[in-house]
Amino acid sequence: MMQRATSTPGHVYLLGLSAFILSVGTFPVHAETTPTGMNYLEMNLEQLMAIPVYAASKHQQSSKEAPSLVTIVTADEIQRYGYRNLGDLLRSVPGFYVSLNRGSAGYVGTRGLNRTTDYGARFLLQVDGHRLTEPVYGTLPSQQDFPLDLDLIERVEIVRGPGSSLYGSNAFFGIVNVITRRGKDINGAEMALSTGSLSTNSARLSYGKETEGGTELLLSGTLYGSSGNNDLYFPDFDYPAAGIDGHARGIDADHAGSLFGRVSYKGLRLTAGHADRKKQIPSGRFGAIFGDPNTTNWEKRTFAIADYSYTLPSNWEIVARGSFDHYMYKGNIPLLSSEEQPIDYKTDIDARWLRGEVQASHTFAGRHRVTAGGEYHSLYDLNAHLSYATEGHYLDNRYKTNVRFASFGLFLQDEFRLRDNLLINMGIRLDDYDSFGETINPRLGVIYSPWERTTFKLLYGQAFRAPVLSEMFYQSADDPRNINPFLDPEKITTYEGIWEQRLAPWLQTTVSVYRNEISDIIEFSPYADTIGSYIYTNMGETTVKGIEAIVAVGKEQGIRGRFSYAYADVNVQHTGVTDNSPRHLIKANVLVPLGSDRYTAAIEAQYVSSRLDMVGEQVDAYWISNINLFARPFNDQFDLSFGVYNVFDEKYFDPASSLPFQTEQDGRTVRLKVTYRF
Amino acid sequence: MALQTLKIILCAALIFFCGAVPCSSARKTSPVLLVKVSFLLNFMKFTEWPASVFPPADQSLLLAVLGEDPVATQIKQSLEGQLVSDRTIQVAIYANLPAWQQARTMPHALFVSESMSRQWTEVLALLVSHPVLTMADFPNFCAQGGMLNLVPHGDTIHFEANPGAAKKVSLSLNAQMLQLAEIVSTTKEIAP
Repeated sequence: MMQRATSTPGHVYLLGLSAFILSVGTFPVHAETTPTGMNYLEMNLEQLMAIPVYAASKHQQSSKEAPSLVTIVTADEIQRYGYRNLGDLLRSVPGFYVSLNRGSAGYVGTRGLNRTTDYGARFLLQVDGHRLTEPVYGTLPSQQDFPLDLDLIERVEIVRGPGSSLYGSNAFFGIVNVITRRGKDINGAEMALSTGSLSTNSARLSYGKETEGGTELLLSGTLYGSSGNNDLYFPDFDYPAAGIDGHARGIDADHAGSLFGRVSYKGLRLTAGHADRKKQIPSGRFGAIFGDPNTTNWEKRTFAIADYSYTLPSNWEIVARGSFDHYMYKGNIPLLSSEEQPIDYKTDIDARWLRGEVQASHTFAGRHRVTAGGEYHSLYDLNAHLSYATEGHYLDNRYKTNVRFASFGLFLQDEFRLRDNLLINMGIRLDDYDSFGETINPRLGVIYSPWERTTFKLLYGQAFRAPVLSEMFYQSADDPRNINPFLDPEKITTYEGIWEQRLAPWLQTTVSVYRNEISDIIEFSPYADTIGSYIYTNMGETTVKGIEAIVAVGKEQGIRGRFSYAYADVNVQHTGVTDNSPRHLIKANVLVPLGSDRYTAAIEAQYVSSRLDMVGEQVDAYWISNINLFARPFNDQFDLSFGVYNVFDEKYFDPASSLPFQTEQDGRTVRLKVTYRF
Repeated sequence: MALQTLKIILCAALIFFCGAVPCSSARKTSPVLLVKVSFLLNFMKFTEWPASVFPPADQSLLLAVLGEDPVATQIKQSLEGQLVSDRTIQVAIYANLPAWQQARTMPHALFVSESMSRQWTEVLALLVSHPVLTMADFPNFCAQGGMLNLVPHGDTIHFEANPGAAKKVSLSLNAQMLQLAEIVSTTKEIAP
């Protein structure tokens, strides 16, 4: 009797426990732990109080259950590590590398691929769910061309692997998802001033507020200016006989300004942004007269987004979004003419497009989380001109009237919770482009957590990148024949296995093994028999096999950090040239509290192994170290940050897309930044 | 007594196995629980104990959990071994009041599970005036003399604090933390 009486409560407890855990298990899941080692245990009370746990208006997913290897960089890390631009941030991400040719953009690569011969376009950039990747070049803006001040970012999610089954074009190697801070997080005014080496200065003023009625407002403006590197040496231009010594002096200036604003009320958000950036190009690229200060790139990006999310009483979650984007690019390259008078080779691009999308999510039978939606994109206005000696076009826009630059996509995804610790993620998307027609991209992920601290992911997926307009309508000088508006998209098939293991509360390891098979790569290749004439065509295949290992250590207010190693073996079958493909990437990020978390020292080390440039010459391996000291000395009103970048003044180069094939990078620089909230 | 111990061991073992092997009835980590235990960790970080409660050579901070809610297992999993100003958290779960009494250990911090909410006043009596930080996640905990309590707030979790109750046993709750809390007062002399 006694035994019976005492064992019954035990069963009751267990039943209750099971029921509770089950009921908890049906809650939408948010990021709980991430490969960066950030987890709830590291959050402060304010952050914890902001986490919606009981219901979610939008479908967010934990990185543990995402069908990808995900890295999250938070606002706190951006401040403590002293990241100056998105490129700095991405360089710290396991398996990523950024090549700078000191032109407009930095080119972001991962898993062995960052081809110097094209514009990248293999990452999808989203800001608060809005696709910011422009359709002319598609490059991921990672320098001052990124239209948002980094201080406005709440977090950046770097989702590796093919994402076209949900997001369409460009989600080829991954998605860079930027989530901005909310007005109520700023709650007042915030001012940031910075100054540093190379006469680099910036100023930001932001204002954020939530009214009692629940309307949220955020306004921010940033100005940036830098004289750039005053002396860059390009051995390719060291011709004493021609009167040039290879030194580009004082022609690396960079000026940018941006505005960002948002008003939101309940599920409705209106967001607008504008960015303007002018960069001098010191490298004498594309045949520019070396040393001419008028070699410039000028870009403008404008976007306006309206989105609305709503949960129907039947628990259908609806997200609708409409947006307008404008992209302007003006390039100026002074060329020597036969008359010995420089002629400005001008590229003038102006593109405007609209996008609309609707997405609905619902959980069926407690096990199927289904998301379905559609997207329509219309590039309704494109002007692309080239002035070069005689009238001409850079992008041949005679096709403008014949081809509608429109596309649509339809997608369906089911996250099927087969068991509580076994999730099957299935997705498929159809995209239809006016130019090349249809493409269908599926994805299948099996996410299994056999034990509390262990997660295995088996992933298969396909993705595509639509040819960008600069590839379809590129026209070599004086040869109108060679545009290729019927280019096919590049395709990628990825097989990946991921093992995430939390060995201790303060120690998480992640290992990923993958194989990428890329086909129909768009190559810039000689056209027919015409010397100097080129065309973009789909060619051959590339396979990449690799492994990535990440160790995240540490606890809140203790020493914490992340160490990673990435290996990529690239095999370009059709050309045999594997330019800009470092085999090894090693990274270490360590944050050391000095006394308390109000004072931290952030130390970064990054190794990029040797690569080849586009003509097959070796670009030497390099180690770069950065240190950033961060202080919040008195209260939360005031932050001080002092960074030393490339501490050991390492001289290193990145491969570039034209002569000079290697571009010198900055030596040691410093930056002092003050943030004041009032 | 032996039977009770056996019961506790059995329960603990079952809970352990439920957490350790694939078990169709248990989803392994839920953000709700993780967020809750993260709050608890913060609570302990923002509390100052009188130095006298820590034996000189011992670097541990004892956290007792009363009751067998899922929060209890999550606390054990997530907080055991965590550091609170150089002290390592050691978690002990007691299924019920007699189990705790039997252990004869006065912890530095105590979490009272919702399943024990009805016995809270008894627990309070057992604590006498020991400097034990008391925490819970059930209604009216602070109003009944508890120190820190997790409360639902819309779709998020907020917390209540009863700084008077802490002060009475020589514990000091950090002012920064109190700024974020909803203050519940059960003592009259709290106003400056």
